[in-house]
Amino acid sequence: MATPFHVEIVTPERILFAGEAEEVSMRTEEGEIAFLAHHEDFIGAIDMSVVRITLAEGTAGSTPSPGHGGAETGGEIRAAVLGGFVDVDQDANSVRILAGVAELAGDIDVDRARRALEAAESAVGAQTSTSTGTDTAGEPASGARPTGVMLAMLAPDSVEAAARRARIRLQAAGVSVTP
Amino acid sequence: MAGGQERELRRRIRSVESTKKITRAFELIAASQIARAQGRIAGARPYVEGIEKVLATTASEATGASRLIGTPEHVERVLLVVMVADRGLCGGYNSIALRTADRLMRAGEAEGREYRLVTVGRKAISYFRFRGREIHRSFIQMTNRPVFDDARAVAAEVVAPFLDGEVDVVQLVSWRFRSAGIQTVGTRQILPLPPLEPNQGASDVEAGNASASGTDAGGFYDFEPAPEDLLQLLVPQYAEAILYQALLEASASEHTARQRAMKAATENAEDFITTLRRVMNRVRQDAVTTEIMEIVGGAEALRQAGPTGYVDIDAEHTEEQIA
Repeated sequence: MATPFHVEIVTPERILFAGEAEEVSMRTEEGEIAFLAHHEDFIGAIDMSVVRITLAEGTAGSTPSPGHGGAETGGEIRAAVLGGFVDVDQDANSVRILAGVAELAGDIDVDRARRALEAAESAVGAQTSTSTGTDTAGEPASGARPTGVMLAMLAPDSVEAAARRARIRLQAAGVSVTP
Repeated sequence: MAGGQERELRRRIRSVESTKKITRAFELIAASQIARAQGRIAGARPYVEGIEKVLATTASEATGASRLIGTPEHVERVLLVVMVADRGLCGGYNSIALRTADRLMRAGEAEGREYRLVTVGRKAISYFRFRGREIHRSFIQMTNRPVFDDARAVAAEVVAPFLDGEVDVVQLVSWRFRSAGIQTVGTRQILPLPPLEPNQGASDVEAGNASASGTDAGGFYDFEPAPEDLLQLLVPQYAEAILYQALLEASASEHTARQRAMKAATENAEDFITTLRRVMNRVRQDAVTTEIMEIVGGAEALRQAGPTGYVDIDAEHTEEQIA
């Protein structure tokens, strides 16, 4: 059995999740990253991604809304984290995820996410067709559109960001999405 | 005439009583909001402290980010955020904050500074419009029950002008909620970030832990992306977190101020009603006394004049009839 460590998902409103885990994984700009116990000090920006927490055996994650996100002992918790930061503290043996918006799998409104994805995709389609028609005249920033982490944090209102948010939500909720 | 006065007083008592009902209701509503607002402040603390710690650690490692941190040596253009309430009936809550902001701007303008105003709360709009100040952007319907998206909206309005170099500094005037008994108006610098002590920030968050490596905690951190790039991402998030906390504190202070003001108003109404009742009772007593006096006087007059006249008339009639 792997050594457990403390994991927290902290949002502006409340501590979404706090518990002992064996492993926690997420996406950063560089790619997928996973933390185990006693990881060295680390600070990173999290891309919009599904955060997976493998709970330590014999310990239940304490969430303000128990029963959501499969908070059973020794299970896995998934959360949609829509951009944020991760702060790993070796001395405290803890991983703290700071996210402006984050939702546990059980709290995600799948229907709403589906509708948001459809709306965003049709908007993206309309945008690309118009921008190819009128060339780059009306779109000065199209060449330097932020991507990845930058997209999540610097252009949260763009349709691309909306589409990715919806995708991440659906993924976290365990719904398969066609790319 | 006396009865008219009494009716008038009765009407006034009724009017004060209904006012009292309203102020009492406002007081109870505000009181119930205080606990919830305090809970939200407590709920936001882990996030704000977490962001502050990450920011302090990152800033200590980042180079060439001087414009983002510290006090700028040359301040000409200031973006000032003022947070007040949408409604009145909360004592000096609005006017104290607005006066503080107004005074700050006057003092700054005397030194040749320019101000761009961003306001939260309906009361700020009328105040500054009356004084002929231009409001760059105003937000309403936020302070009663602030949500994080509200902070995002305000942050978007202040972070971009700062990063684009349109303003040199972003300041905030708002009520700070120190405890249920103590609230004060504070002026704070939001951007550039106030100089943070990295280790102090860390020890604030990890207060319970034995942080043996307190002196060199910053040195061994891995950053992804590089500290300089990370800082660019952190600054907007930090501004959102700080503004969210400020909104929550302003909201809790507003509810506290309203509860206090309405409690005082309710008590005033009670005192007023007591006084009015006393006056009314005296007036009624006077009226009753006067009436009794009139009746007694009238009866007495009749009694004195009555028997002889009555008998006389009767006797005449009798005599006539007999005759």
